[in-house]
Amino acid sequence: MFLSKIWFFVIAVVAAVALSFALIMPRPAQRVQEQDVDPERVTIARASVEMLLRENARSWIDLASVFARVPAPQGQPALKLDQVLETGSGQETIAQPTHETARSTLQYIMSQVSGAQKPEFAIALDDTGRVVARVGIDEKSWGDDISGYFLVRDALRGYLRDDLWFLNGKLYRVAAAPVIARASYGGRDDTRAQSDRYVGAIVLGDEVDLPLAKALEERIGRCPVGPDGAKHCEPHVAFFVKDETVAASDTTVFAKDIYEGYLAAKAAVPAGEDFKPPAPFEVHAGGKSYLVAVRQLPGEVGSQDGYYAVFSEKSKGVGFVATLKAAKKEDIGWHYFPWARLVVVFLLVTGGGLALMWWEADKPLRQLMIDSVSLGKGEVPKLDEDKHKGRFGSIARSVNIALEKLAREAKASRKDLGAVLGPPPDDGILGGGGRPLPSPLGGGSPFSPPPPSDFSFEPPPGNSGAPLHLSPGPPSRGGPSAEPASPSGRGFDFDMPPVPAMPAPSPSSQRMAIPPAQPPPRPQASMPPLPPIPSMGGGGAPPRPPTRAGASTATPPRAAAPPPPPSLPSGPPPRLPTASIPVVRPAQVPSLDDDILAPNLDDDMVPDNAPGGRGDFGGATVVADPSEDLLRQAADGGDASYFREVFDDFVELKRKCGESTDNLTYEKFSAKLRANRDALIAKYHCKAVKFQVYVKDGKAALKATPVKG
Amino acid sequence: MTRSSALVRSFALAAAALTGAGAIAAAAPGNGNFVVEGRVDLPPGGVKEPEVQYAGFIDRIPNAITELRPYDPRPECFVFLEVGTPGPDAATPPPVAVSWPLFASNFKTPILPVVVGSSVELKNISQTTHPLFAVDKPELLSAEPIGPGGTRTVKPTEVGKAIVIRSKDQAHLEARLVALPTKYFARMKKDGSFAIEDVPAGKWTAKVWCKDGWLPVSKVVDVGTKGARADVTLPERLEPAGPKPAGK
Repeated sequence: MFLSKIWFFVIAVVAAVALSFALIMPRPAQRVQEQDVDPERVTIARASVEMLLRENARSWIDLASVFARVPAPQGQPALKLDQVLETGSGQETIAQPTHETARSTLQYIMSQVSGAQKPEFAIALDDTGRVVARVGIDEKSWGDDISGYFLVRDALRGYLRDDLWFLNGKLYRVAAAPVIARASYGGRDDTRAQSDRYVGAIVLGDEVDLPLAKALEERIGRCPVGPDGAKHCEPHVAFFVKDETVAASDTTVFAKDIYEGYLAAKAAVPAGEDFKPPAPFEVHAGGKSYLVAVRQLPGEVGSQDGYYAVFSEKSKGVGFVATLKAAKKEDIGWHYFPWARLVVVFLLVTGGGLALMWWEADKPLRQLMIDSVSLGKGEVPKLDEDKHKGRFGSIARSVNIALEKLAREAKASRKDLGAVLGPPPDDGILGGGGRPLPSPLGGGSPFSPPPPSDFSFEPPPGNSGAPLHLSPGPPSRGGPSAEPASPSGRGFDFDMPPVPAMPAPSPSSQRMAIPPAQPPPRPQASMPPLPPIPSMGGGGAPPRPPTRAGASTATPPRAAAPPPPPSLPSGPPPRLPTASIPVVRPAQVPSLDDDILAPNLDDDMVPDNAPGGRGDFGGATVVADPSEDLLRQAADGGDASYFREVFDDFVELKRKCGESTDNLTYEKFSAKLRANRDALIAKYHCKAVKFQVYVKDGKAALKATPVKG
Repeated sequence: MTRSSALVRSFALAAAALTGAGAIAAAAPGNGNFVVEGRVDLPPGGVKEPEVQYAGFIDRIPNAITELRPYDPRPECFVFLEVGTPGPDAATPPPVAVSWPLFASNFKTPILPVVVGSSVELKNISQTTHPLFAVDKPELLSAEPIGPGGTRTVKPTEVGKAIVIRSKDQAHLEARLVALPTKYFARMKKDGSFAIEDVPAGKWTAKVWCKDGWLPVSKVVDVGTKGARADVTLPERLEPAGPKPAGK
């Protein structure tokens, strides 16, 4: 699944990169917003305020000019400003009637204007700058000289101009215009009124207040309507004189912070240069950050640190989630979002991944499954390893190995059973003609023991209930082999000792192997009857042997314990009921050159708690329980002395070689010899086995040699 | 010629002499000094006005009805007679302080010449509190504002240097105090005329001071002679000669 993994890795990498992009994408935009867009926005807003204030100043100037030329009302010719002011200009002190007339005139003129363009106050001045009358502010005060104001000086000279005055904590936009008495032709003798003459000036004023700030705010920014129905404009406009807020469109109060920023910007101006509008700066107030663009106000208030500010809350960081929230329905509409391409890419990626997975995993797995089913059905002997690649091939190989192992074990089991059960009879019932088993008794033909299931144990005719006796044979030194024969023609006709009840099979017993016993001798008519085998005690009914359908199910008779014979003829060990034969692993047959007592031979067949144990031999001292004694007694009848002889020689040689013989016992030694003898006989079909003691690598060793013929 | 006609002639001569003497006497006080009159005129092309200060949003617009009034710096100027033969008390400061009224937006006189050592009383006759300060001479005026009716006294000690007094919260409120060695000085009227009294006879030089310094114009006046006048014409550019004027 290499390509599939590579595909998924690529998909994961692409997904990680895409996610990284998604997380990073808002940052540059936010940075641009913070560094460029926000400052530019407030800078442009400030310029807009400047333009609007200029426009407004011009309007006031025009109004002042109009005020100066308003004609007298019908029927009240005295209410003409130029006449009133000319009268006042000629007085040493402004007389009360003059003041009254001037005030009435101003009131009349004010009544002619309404709305936003109506000024808050109007001041009429004589030609020296003395106040003749005021309306809207300090109306009871007159005669004072305000010619010091630059606005007034210029108006008295004939200029129209505007200014900003800070009076009593209030900021006023003021505009002034000269009042000019027009030339009149009163006659040749009237030299006084023959030319236009300056008789005074009119000053109009309007406070810089909240309505002005609000009006400016609405003109320069956006004012979306909030859920409460109110407009929420951005940016805001505010006017300050020093750290005092004169008027602000927003209730946010951080005049001090803005003033500090203003002073800092002012201080940065080189000496001799004009205080140009500085770059926007940041102010923190109320847990928020604001970007502020300030500009010094013109006129006299500028010298008093009068300025206005345009400020806006800094854009909040827009993260990935916020960006998603800010997305609208039309952003993912068909017109903007490439749905078709996205779907195509998705299908290609998904399809590619699925195709690779099918090709690399599903397909070979399916093939393996099909072949396994065929194997299970027996259609094929094994799985074709070349057909399955990679790990599936490993699975096939493992299955094949297991199958081969099972086959070998089955084959070995058949051989062991054959050795235990002896050759089949010649009557052909069991497939006669098999090779007779070699026997210590000599003679006989090779024998292929039949599978266990073919055997059934029945007492010989006329001998029901009588114990079966095992005919002892001659010693195993090259004894003739005999072919057993069954009078009944159905099996081996030899006496078997009663088999005691077998204990419940334990895991260790599964490993117990019945050593390949000498094939039972061919039953002969001349075979002497076996002595009765004493009962082992605790006997219960022996297990019933497996039988075929219809076969006799007679229980083999209980065997009585045979007495210990002084010299039991050696013979093959008694046949055990097949049902009691546990599954065994065939003993590892040593080669002829091996030291049969070497530790690597048959060790694993010997449980640690086996009576014989592993012992000093390290060999597979196989103990067939409970009939071991029976086997030994039955088989050792003639070999005991030989075994004893070999044992003595072995012990002596061990001593000569300086080895310890403490753990060396005859029982273990003879059991070992017996097991190997049986294995060799089974393997090589020899009549007997000869044991030789020798020195190998400085140690005593034992060698087994089959004896044929 | 008869005795009576001679007598009449004598009387006529005496009267003429007396008249002449009276004429001269009219130009001179009883102590033998004279009044020097004169006129400071604007140049024909007008005086170049200074740059606009504290302009508003819009540059000032000349009216479209009539010509503008020319710039007249004379309210901020005075005439001084120097050299000559000063009298014994010419340099004596007056015994009482010189009053300098302060209105709501300006001093009564934008420039006040005084004899050096004179006490000058700044009197606020307006309803506005004025935080005044002296440019380049902070020690001259206390930092405390002058409230309505309040006074401050200053005594200039340096001759020939204008003390500029300004308000901290009114840019237009500015005045100058100039100390002079003698009392032979006078401010001009609206039409530029002036009169300096109690001037001893002799040759004097009439100089004009405008704002921060002497103008490069002068007129020698032979005080005591008939028809002597100190008529001066201002230059077109009011750039004072000599030391740099006091800063803004």
